[in-house]
Amino acid sequence: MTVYKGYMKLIARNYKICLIYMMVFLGIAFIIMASTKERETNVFETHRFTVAVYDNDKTEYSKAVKKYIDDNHNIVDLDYDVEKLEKMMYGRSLDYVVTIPKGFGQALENSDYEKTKVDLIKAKNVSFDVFFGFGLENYVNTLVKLNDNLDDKSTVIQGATEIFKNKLEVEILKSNEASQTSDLYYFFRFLPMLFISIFGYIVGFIKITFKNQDLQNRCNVSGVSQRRQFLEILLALATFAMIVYAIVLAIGLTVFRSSLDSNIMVLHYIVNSFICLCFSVGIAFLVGSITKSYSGLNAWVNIFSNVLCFLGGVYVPMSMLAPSVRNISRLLPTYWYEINNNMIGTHTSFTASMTDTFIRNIGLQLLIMFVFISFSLIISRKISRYSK
Amino acid sequence: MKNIVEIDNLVKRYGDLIALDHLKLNIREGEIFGLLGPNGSGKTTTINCILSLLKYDKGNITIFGKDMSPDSTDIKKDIGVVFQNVAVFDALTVKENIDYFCGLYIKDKTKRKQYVEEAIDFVELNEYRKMRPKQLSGGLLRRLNIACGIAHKPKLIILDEPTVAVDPQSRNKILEGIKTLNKNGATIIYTSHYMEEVELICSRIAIIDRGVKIAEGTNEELKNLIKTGEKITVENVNVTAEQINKLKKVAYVYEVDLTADILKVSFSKADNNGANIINLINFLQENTIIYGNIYSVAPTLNDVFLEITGKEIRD
Amino acid sequence: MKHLLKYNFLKTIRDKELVFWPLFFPIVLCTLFYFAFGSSIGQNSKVDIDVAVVYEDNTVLSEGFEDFLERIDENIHSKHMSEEEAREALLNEKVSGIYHVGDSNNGLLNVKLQVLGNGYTKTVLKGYLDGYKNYEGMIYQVMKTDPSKLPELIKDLDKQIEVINSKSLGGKPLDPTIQYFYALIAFASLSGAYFGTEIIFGIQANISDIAKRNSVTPINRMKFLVSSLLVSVAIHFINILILLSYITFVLKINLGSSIGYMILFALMGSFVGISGGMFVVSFGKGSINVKSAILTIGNLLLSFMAGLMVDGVKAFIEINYPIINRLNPATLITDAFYSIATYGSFEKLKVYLVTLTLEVLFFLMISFFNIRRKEYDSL
Repeated sequence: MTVYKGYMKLIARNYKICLIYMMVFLGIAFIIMASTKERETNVFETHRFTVAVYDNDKTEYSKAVKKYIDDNHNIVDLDYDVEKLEKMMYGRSLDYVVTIPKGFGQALENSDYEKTKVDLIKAKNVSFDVFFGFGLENYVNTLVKLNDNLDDKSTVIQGATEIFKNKLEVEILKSNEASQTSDLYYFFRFLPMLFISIFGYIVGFIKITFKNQDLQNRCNVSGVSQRRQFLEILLALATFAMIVYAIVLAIGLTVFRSSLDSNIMVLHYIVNSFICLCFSVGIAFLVGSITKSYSGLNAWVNIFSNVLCFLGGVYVPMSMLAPSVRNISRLLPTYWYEINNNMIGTHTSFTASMTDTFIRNIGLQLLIMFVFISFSLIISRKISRYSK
Repeated sequence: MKNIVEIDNLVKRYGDLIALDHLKLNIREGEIFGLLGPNGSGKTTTINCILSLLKYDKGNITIFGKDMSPDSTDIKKDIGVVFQNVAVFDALTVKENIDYFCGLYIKDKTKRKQYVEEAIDFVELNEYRKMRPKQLSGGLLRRLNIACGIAHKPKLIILDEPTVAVDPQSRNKILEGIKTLNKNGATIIYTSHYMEEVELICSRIAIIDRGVKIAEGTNEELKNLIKTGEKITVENVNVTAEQINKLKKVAYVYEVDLTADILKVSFSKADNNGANIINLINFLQENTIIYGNIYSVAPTLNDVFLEITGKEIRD
Repeated sequence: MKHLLKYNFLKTIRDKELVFWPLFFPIVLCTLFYFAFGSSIGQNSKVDIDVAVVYEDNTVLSEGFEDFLERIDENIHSKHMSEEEAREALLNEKVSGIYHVGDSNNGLLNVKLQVLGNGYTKTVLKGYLDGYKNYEGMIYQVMKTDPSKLPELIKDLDKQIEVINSKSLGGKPLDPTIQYFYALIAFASLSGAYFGTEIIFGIQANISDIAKRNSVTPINRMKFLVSSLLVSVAIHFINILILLSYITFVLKINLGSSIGYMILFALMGSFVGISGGMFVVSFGKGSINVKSAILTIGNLLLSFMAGLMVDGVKAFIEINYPIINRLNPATLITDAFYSIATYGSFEKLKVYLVTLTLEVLFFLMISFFNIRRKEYDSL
């Protein structure tokens, strides 16, 4: 087990670098979680857009419209500074700008439909406009219809308020869906980024150290076969991976212990994330086989990490990707990992068919991992055979 | 003959470790000065101090009569250095490497071109001029390393263990080359832990150990410092302890060493007439001792080192 | 100096690892971003929603509800199903919800929604049903106060007037996905740090043998530094220009029309990256492996904070720790490119230019200070 011990010693001696990478990537993961969770919510009762409202009319009707928006979304008080508003929309800290023009209320009262309009500016790529645009349109149309059909105009606004106060009750058929996505879902969602980056950099860094030609030659002429050397290296990486996994899992489960309740399928998370660990090590091994320098390592780790995480639905929801792209995503282990993670995050238990799907997706992840390891074995052999 | 380099009372500490302990050396113009000592004795530290790369705690160093400092560009332009580690650019060819380093000293393009060609000829790297360092063997790489250090024809050349890990053919070429450089007017400081090299080419030698100069002089002067005049080795010999005791009483014998079937007898005076070996042969015959080969060697610098310090240079 | 420039250029340009990667991987990532988001750049994201519609026995007035659905959202795909089929489809998540449609006695359909749980699509279905249910509310209100108006109300019930004027703010509003490309340009710029490593390597005698050899020559070390710096900036700057050209002309993503400013910030970006690398490596003797690791992780962290991986991070930092965005060179570069694309005027770019210049000067000054020592305590 000389090669195994050698690698473990090398990893141990560079523990500082390992720690730096681990802490930084954990920090990155936590920041991403915090910022993503704020934007993505799966609880439909509470989704509220950020809206800036400018009431240039200041009539009862315009105030009613503003109040409707305030009741259902978050109004921010901002000066009308085009540059600032544009930047906020670009930075996704503002979703809509509503301007109620002067004369709106009078036009509505006079049934002058051409002039009964509000100006709406939507930030690009706002998803699900039904939450806001449709609702606003609905409200103003309700005011119009009540105004047209009620003689006593003083009751129009009150009537509209009463109508919109009635919230529809929706029957939920089964209760194996989680009522709220837990923090653990987000933690495990970003785990591929964490693992691929950590292992990619550390394993790559160690393999670069071993890339010294004389060292390689010495290993190649030793009494240990190449296959055995390869297996021992893999074992060393697996040992290291388990240590990192234990630390990361301990940190995650500790920080998010408040999320742990009987409704959370922790075991499924752990199993799925363990498979993620496996394929991340496989990817790291491939990266280590093809890099010779730090700038190269930096490039490859970033390419693998970003390709796998973007296309796999780690950074952005799958819905944001073009359908043709999603077809390519199916070739990636992160895609199947996220499918499983989404399933776990949105349910409190699995049906039999869901369990089958879960296991199948795990199998796919492992299959792709073996492909990565095979590639790296081939590449390593080619490099050692044809090197100077 | 004037001193080119004067090192006076040099002290260098690394924490509690004294790397150079009040070292005093004078290197004369036109000589090949050898700095001999085992690994870790302070040879490279001395060189780095001379070149003002290392800060030292005490002492004074002058080169060409001037105090040496990092900013002494007028001194540096006449110094050529060949460091122990090969320091060339992997991305440049042999010729480009030599041209680059030569160009740091010689501004004139025509002159530089001529010097570079001469340097390539000198180290016999003509066939390899377009190759990159990675394509060269260890010996050729060392030759390139030397060429980069001497291409600008400096007055003072410092070579720090230039033949480490070099094949015998390349080593001979390097040593011959150094002698030629000296013949052409360069003063040379040569450090090594290979006593054979130092004995072969150096006119004066200083032996240092643990930062202290333990002996200095020409080859002969150093050997005269020690008791051993001649060492005679007898191989395939079968001798009893009693016979060894008797042998010790033979004229001028001061030490007898038997290891397996090899007998080494040290005589205290160098033998010019072959008397020592004749005396030994007579002894062996008188005592009916059967033996194989018998030969005599003059004492080496290793013997000098051994007698003074009690250990081998290679320990 | 010419001699130094010539050979610095040769040895740098021939170092494939050094020159190639900072060019190659941003191009690969750009292409990835383009294919991942490209088709959606400039378009709103829409999601198809499948919903089952189950009609209770004897339902007569069915057309109104489906017309209503089709009218409000072309991405809603409704399918007639039986009760059992709909339940099966819902449990297997083939549909996002079931609308149960039945007759009521108020002239409207009685519609109920059944879902499996929460989620955007379920909320959309609920939202639309809310809209439909408002009709009931209106009928009730009118009935309460003015029953004679009821027939007229019902006649015009699902007629919606256009009450929203869609507008833009002015300037050139940008698609937020373009910020990934800006963050990538910033990341590529900061990758010049590896050039900075090579520069210090050639000068610090306690780090490399080449530097030792250079140190014993009569050439002032500032000359070594300046010549290496100029060559590195020139090469890395060309790398960034190639990247910008690729984004603009091959991927056809509009980064703005002010080419002069783009070139200026490409140059500043190169300077910042290289001087940043010099800054980190110039400290102490330390292992080069550790320093390279710090550079790698530092670049990634700065670019991440500028929105390389997830766009919400930059806004998150702006809200909670805005000083980081003011100083982070990656954020300054992305903001500069944003301003170039949106406004194209120098006024907006001044603050970024000044801050980046000050950072470059700071990095260079500290680097010079750290490497000024020509004698070392140990080698």
